[in-house]
Amino acid sequence: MNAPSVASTHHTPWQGLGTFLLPKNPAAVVQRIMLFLLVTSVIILCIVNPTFRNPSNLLNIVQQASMIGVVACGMQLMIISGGFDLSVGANAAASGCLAAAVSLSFGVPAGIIAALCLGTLIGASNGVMVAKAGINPFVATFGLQAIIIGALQALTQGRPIAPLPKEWRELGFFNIGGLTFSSIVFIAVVTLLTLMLRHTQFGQHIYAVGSNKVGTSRAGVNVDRVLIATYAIGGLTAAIAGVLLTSIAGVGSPQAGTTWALLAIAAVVIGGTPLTGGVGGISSAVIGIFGLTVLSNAMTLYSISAFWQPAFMGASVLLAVGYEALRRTRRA
Amino acid sequence: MTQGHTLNKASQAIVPVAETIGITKRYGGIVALSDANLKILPREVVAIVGDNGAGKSTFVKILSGAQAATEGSLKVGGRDITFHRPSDARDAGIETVYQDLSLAEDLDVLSNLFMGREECYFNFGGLSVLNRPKMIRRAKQLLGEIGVNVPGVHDTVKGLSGGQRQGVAIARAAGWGSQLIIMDEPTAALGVQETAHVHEIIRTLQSRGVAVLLVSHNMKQVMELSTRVYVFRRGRIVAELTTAQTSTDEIIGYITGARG
Ligand SMILES: Nc1ncnc2c1ncn2[C@@H]1O[C@H](COP(=O)(O)OP(=O)(O)OP(=O)(O)O)[C@@H](O)[C@H]1O
Ligand SMILES: [Mg+2]
Repeated sequence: MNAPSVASTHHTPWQGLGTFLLPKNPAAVVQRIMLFLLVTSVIILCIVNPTFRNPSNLLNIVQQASMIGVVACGMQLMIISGGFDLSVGANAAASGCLAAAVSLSFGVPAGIIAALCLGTLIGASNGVMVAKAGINPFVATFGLQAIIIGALQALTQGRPIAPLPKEWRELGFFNIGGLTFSSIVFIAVVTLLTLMLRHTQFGQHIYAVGSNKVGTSRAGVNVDRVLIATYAIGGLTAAIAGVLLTSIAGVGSPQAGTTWALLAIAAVVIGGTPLTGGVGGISSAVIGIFGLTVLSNAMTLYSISAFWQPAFMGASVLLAVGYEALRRTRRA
Repeated sequence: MTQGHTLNKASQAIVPVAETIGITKRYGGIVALSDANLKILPREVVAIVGDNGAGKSTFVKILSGAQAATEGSLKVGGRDITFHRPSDARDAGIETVYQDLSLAEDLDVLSNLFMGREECYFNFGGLSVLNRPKMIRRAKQLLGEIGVNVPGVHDTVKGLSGGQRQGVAIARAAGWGSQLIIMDEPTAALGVQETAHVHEIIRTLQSRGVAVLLVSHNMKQVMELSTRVYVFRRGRIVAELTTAQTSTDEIIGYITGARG
């Protein structure tokens, strides 16, 4: 009788375990399958490949997953609300460059604050276009992406911003027991957004808006405000990733992030969240981004051409979406 | 008002829960509703009937705050009031169960019952932390009192039957000390048993002192549940009848225009 959404809470530990292993919700089933595939492939790779199980490689995977993982977490919120954001990569590039440029005259902390403000502003602009003007998210965020990239290229002449204050490098090399600054930020973002989504009124309203916009508005929820805030947080996560990139690269890179939006959306979908809105959890973004990163790591280890990677990623997305769609049509 | 049964002196002394005076709604050149005068007294189940396009939904939208009237005024509890949005009507104690139910199907029963009115541990805007234990207690109590049977408050609405969904939508409207619940075709999509269940819920509401405004095409339902009937035809109220003193034939006569 229990058909909880990914977000719902459980009564007893045993019931919780039961619905965790065998959820009735097709989207949640996809997520369990993906989690299972991810865990088994990591275990198998650890057993058969000494290079893979090398701690430095494992930490490297976490490091690689972290930056786009932060973006994917923001994307997760926007997808639950029934939309998505194609401008996150451009946003990250612009915010990362602004952080770099501002840090030249005002120091790194001021640079980071400026970047986070810019990213949030870009996200909120997407939200205003989607909520207030009713522009389709694809059109709104694709359009803004083009504007950002154009402006960024014009302002930087396409050249990286360097050399930067040495604090950037210190940030980039900072780590606690091998866990880098990016990974620590990723863990913090995952924790905060999970708590927000599950336990706050705003989190509840993101699901509601994604599930039934008109009905939620009739129930007295300010749908526009929910959407704008959701896209603003999405923009903020993009800016965080931009700052991380600047710290890792040691330069402000105007060309960065071109594939990030699609990678983040793919991660969310592979993690078992359908694009229809109303369901999903941060766990989807996390499972998806680790799935993609492990896949690319393994392909590198077995010297499979990097050109195959998009093909594998596409196949995983189609499998996840296809399975969920199939289950849904069978039930209906 | 043609052939309307006049209300007796005693009932005129009672303050109506809600009253509309001369409500007119025009969409460009189309007159969807013209000079609608209607009142709902405490504990009444007032039915609105009429053919397709008669103006029933238009009237309901105005009374629920979803739309503004072109002319006319509203009174709630004897006082003049203007609604700019649905939440204004709700703040005045008027709740609406929409024909499409307006539930978030991917969410569980609990979330839907408290949509927009979540109980929180403390108030901090959107970041208010949900007090789920309190909501669960209130939800179970509410569902029990009104007689809505759902397997559990954590079940997603998607998995519920039509009658259960209707029950959740009605419970959501009833749970907030509302004076008047508007229901637009509450049983149009339901089977016989589920319809009977919704009828029970409406009677329970009535016995708890809530007035109901019921839009219905189902004459049997109107005769069974309502205390009074307003017949709409081509945007006008053509008759105001007391259910106990009328018949299905008379009502249908007014709907089709054979009478009045
Ligand atoms: N948004 C609108 N714009 C223009 N005309 C409208 C609009 N909404 C309703 N109308 C017109 O107003 C009239 C009354 O419509 P209304 O929806 O109130 O009828 P109804 O009695 O609810 O009918 P039904 O039984 O089919 O639901 C109809 O002629 C309809 O075409
Ligand atoms: Mg109608």
